[in-house]
Amino acid sequence: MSEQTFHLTVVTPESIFFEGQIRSVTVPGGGGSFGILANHAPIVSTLLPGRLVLTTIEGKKRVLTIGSGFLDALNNEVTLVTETVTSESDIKSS
Amino acid sequence: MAETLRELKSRIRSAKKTQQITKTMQMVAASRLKKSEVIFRKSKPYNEKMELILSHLMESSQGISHPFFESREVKTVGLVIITSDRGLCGGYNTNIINKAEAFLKEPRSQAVKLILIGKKGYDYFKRREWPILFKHIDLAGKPDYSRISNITNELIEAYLSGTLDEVNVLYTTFVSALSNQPVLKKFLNLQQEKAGLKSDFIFEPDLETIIDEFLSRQVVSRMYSALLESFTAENASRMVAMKSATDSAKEMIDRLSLKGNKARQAAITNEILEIVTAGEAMKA
Repeated sequence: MSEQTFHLTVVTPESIFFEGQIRSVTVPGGGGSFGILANHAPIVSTLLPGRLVLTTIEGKKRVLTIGSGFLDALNNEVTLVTETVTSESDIKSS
Repeated sequence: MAETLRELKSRIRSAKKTQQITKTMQMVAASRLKKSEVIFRKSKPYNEKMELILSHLMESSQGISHPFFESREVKTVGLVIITSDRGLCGGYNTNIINKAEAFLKEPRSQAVKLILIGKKGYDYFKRREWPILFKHIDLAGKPDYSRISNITNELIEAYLSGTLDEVNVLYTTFVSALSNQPVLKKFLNLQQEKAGLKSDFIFEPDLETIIDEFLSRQVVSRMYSALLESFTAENASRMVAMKSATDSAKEMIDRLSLKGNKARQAAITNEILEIVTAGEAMKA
């Protein structure tokens, strides 16, 4: 498994929900669900309400439920804006 | 002496009561300010990120047509004026209204329509010559996201239907607790960048869909941010106004107490004088 990481910020109008280095993230994109790893090509995508799975630097999986929003990735800086986010209980990777 | 001791006493009492009220209002405003400042600061990253994504979208937007990009002939200008619902907040509303008046009195060929947020602005402008398109007078210092979506949707609809060709927002920026500045900002119309691509973005599902969805949210985000900032400034302004009211009440009490003491002493001196004079008269 690659050890490369990138920076993810999840923001809502109320606050910054998540900010930190992560290994990967899977999001419910407007054109279908897709995953992002480090060094992803620049992308802007709409997001549909759904589940977002991210793998933290320690290899832990975290599931967030998000509302519709947008994702923007450029130079290993991934930004996710959405109106609502809630965290599901952290799931340990096996 | 113009005032009797009793009159002075009652004036001191009423000044003390006023002071108590303004002091309480000052403290309430201070705690509200703290709260709204936290909310405002927390909302900033969202707004910044939205602007960032917007800049990425605009880089690639050549050839895309969207109503917000159109440069149409401006026949009607919309002016959104954000004021407070309640008074006793110093120069907060006056500053905004003065700025609005200055804008409205500029000579121009276009018609101006007003969109008023806040009761004070409505109270002022309902009797003036400028037509009011919408008013929202019950946000009560608590901007919530869905209400603001409704307000911006009204604006967008008015823009798309041609009722308005340009929208400006007049609100108060919060610099610090002691310094607020009314500002006027263009709201809906965007300038398409002519510069070439900086990075080659992938767009999912496609650029038009994203721009369409994004812009309507961007507008909400801007409005939300403007409102939060205004409310924070309102609380700051009220706190400062109430502080100076409390201070001047204290000054007045001091001045009146001094007068009262003098009056009391004069009365006592008078009485002693009378007794002494009476005693001297008896002796004689």
